[in-house]
Formats: sequence, structure tokens, C-alpha cells
Amino acid sequence: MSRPVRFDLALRIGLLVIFLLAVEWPAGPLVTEGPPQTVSTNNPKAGVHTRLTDEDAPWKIQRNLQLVREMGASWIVEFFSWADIEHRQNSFDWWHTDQVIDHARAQGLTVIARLGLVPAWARPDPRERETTLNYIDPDHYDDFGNFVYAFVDRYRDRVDHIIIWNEPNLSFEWGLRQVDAAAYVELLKVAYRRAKEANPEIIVLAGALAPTLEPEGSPSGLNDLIYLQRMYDAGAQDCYDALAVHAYGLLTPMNDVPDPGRVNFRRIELLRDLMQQNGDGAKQVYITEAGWNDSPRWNQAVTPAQRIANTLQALEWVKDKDWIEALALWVFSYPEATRTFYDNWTLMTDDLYPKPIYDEVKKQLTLSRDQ
Amino acid sequence: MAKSRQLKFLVLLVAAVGLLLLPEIMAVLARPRDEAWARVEQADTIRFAINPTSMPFDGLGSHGDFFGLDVDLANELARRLGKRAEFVIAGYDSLYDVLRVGQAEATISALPIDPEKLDGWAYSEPYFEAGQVMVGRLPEPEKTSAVSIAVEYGSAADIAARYLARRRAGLEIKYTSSAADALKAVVNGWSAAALIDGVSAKQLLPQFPDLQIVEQVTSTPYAIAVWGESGQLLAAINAKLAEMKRDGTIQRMVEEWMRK
Repeated sequence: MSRPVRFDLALRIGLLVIFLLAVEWPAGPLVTEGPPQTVSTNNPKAGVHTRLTDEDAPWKIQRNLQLVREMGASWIVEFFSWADIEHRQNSFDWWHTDQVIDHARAQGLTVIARLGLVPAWARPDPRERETTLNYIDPDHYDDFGNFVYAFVDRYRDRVDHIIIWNEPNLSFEWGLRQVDAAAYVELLKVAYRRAKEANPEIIVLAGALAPTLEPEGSPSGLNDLIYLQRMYDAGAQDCYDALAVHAYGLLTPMNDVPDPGRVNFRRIELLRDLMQQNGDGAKQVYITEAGWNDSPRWNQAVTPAQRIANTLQALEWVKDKDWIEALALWVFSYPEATRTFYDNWTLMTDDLYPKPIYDEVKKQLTLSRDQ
Repeated sequence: MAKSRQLKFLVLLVAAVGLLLLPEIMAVLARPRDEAWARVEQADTIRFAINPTSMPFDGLGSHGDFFGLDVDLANELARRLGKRAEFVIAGYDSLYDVLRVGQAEATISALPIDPEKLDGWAYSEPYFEAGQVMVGRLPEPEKTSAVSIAVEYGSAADIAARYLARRRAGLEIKYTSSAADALKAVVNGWSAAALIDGVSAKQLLPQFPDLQIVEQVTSTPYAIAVWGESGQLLAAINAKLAEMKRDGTIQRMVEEWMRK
């Protein structure tokens, strides 16, 4: 082979390598966090539960959080799925979680991280027994504890609040089994210990109980007041720092008085009474889900106009309650429309256009005193 | 000699066809057993998961009696399959998961087809259309080119109207406090058309003889869900639904429940 031919071949290979590198070299992020923002609001307790768990597009994650800030909400509650993050045992994929948390912080928002959903490897083999993503056996409490440790450790400087599980007093949220407050407390103990090992300053929220009147033995769940007392009986007092509560008004107006026989917005005062009775009155309460639904079909819904009025009153009501740290409305948006009454909980459409309720909440939260 | 060549050719042909069809054959062999259908065949009942909170589809009386369009539909469906319908109450969140764990064979609960669920579950043919409809006057109905649309403030119709308004210049949205008031706005001439959901339209239009549906603006089909591996059960449900559509049973049930 003559020299020019060898040179020609080397040149071709070199060009091919350059071409392949240019094509395959990972591109930089298309969506950047941008300059740090601050939330302008007249109600620092106002927040919203976002629903970015299934939202993959970074621009949409960022846009959701920008709109939250512009609405005047300082807090977000967001769900981070153990099943997705630790899809394989001891192998963590933080990409999506990083996106949500870093964009939220860039918008000046405080993140309350709700942790739950069990990966397949920590559940029974489906060939032997089909289980849902909310199913966890005591054998895997330590695995969940390891995940909590990894999460809290990674976000030590970025996330100060975590919620352990969601609505464990509902059968659906407890793996379609009979609910069990003592079992939940055992899970909570493990999670609390591991969270504090990772970051002693982390605030661990427990409960996030569903407001329900389900009686003893119901296959659907258990009354939240009974369930909370059972949590105390099982030793919950030493394994959480604040209580997460859910405040749904259903058909009642915002100011409907608390009554153990009714589900209404102010039912959370009864949970607070129970905390005090159990010597836990010094702990704060975080309303991590709240709101009214305005579906024309669901028999627990109000009209859109009533929903707006109740929501604005609720945001005003929490302002002077020194035992309430935050109120997060359920829910900002869904990645996709569900085409059910669930869509009537949202403040935005699934393509991120504001609903009238968003405009009204924004008006209330961002109105300055002299306006 | 010729016969031997023909035989060889035939063997090769069969082998080639076999190879081509191998993935399909393997798929059939590997297909999981339809546990739900097996349960239905063994039992006298079909268990339908239901969230009885949405009339006129799903209701629950004080004595534990179920009623509504879905209940009648499920009862009739089961009867035509030679079974009896049994209803299993489920929270709205668990309407799908109860199928996964075998607590029910099918879900019927004013359930819109959700493409996100198709990786684990399957739907029957739709039996009801609940999407938004444009309503206008007879005999010259206005289409969506109508210059004004009445909607209930903050409702799904309001959101759909805002969507239309972003795309059609000059479209004015007029707000009312209910779907019925939106129809009244058309009758009294305040608005050229009204946008309301399909259920409200079927319930209210008999009271407004001068109005009619002129356009299906959005689509929200309701269907019965089964666990994705329940192919035989789904086929049986679809066959009976088709039969009930053909003989007018579904139409009659819809009209009956929308009148109530």
C-alpha cells in the first residue's frame, strides 16, 4: 500500500471518528434552571401539591413550578416514587428527582417530599401473588429505610421535609389490605431513624391520613381519628416531628364546624385535639392536601363558583393559625387529563392553561395590601 | 425422483412457514391464562367493581342496594352471559387495582377510556359518550362559528370554550351559573350556542325542545375495564355489548336513566 493511500484511509477514519463523536456526544441540557427567583406572596403558608411524578419533560416540570411561583404559593408537596428511583435494589436513578427539586428551588419554592410506592423487587413475586405498588411487608421495612436514608442524604441541603407514606388508613394506600396503624408505625419508626441518621435536621411528617368515617372492619379503610389514636397507642409520638393532614371540604362550606361524624375542611382541628390529648400539642400541622372538587357528576362535589369561594376562604383562614405551618391545595395539574372527576381537583388544565380558580387564587395571594 | 423433489419442496415450505409463524405460535403458547374468565366460568357470578358516587351511573341506596345506568347494564350483561352480577365497592383510586389482584373481574363505573392505563388493562367497546357538546337552536343550528357561547363559569365546558376562543377570533364566552342556565341563554337569545357536557345534554335537552346538539366538541367515551390478561372475558363482554346495542337495550337504558 502506497503512502498516499494509507494517508487517505487514516483521513477517512479520522473524519468518521469526528463525525461519530459529534453525533454521539451528549448534548447539554435544553432547559436550564435560570436565575434564582423568589415567591412574592401575602400568605407565606400558601402552597400546592404538584403532580410531577409522571411528568418527564423538563420544560413542563419547570413551567409547572414557574406557574406555582407566579400564583404566590411558597410551598410545594411532591411525590417521589421509591419504585421508580430504586427500580433495581441499591441502584438509584435520581435524574427525575433532581429535575423537580432543582427547578423548584430555582423558583424559590420549599419542597415537602412525599415518599412511597414499593418497587417490584421488594414485593411478592407476581407469579405467586399479585400485589399493588402500595404493598409492603415488614421484611422490607429496612429496604424502605435504606431508600429514605439515600433520599435524605442526597438532598440534605435542598429538602427539609419528608412525608412517610400517604393515607395509610385507606386500604388502597396500604396495598389493598386491611389497614393496620401499628404496622404503619413500625414502618414509620424505621424511616424516622434512617432519615435522622442521614440528616438530623430533617423534619419527618407522619400520617397524611385520609379524612374518612369508615368504621372498624371496613374493607375500604378506617376513620382517621381512630387511626391516629391507634398510632399513638403503638408509640408513634417519638417517631415523627409534625403531622401531615388532608383537609377536604366535600359538600360543606369552608367554615362548617368540626364534628367527628362529618368529613369537612375543619376536621383537621379534631386531629389537632387528639395530638394535644396525647401530649403532642407542640408539634406543627402541615395541610399537605386540601380542596373542593367541582365535577358536575361526582356526588361529593360543589359548583365551580363554590369551589373558588371555599378555597379562597381556606387560604385566608390558615393565616392566623399558629399551629398550621402550610396549606397545600390538591392539586396543581396532572401530566395528562384523567377524563374523570379527578380533573376537577386541578388548578390548571393538563396543557397548562389556568382554570378560573388559578386566576382567583393568584389574585388573592399576590394582591398587595395597598391594592 | 420428481416425487422426492416435490416432497423436499413441501417439507422446506412447511419449515419456512413454521419459522415465519414461530413468534405468533410462541405468543399463543406463552399467553397467560385468563384467570378472570376461569373464575367467571366456575362461578355463578361476575364481580363488577363500582364506585357508587356518580349518578345517574352509579348509586348506592341506604339498604346497600346499587342502582344507576352502570348497574342495569352490568346486570343485563351478566344475565346474557348466564350469570348474576355482583358489585364490589371500590374507592375511585382502586377501580383498576382490584382487577389486578383479582378482587373483581370487571370495572363498570362511568369509567372513561384512559390511554395511560392500556399498558396493564383493557377496555370494552364504549357504551356512552360523555364529552362536551355544542347546543344550538332549531331549525338553523349554529356551529362553533357561533359568535357567542354560553358556559357554566369554571366548568369543563368553560375550559373547552376558552380553548376554542384561543383558536377562533371573535368568539365571545358568556358565563352562567349552571349548564341549564347556559341552555336558557340560547333560548332567550343572549347567546348563539351553549357548550355543555354529554350527560347534562342528555338530561336537560328534553326540557328544551327548541334546542339540539349540533357538534360533538370533545370525546369522553365510557367503557368497562378488565385486567389486560383477560382477553376471553373481554371478548365475551364485547359480544354482549354489541348485541345490546343492536337490539336497542343500551339506548333504552340510557334514555331511562337520563330522564330520572
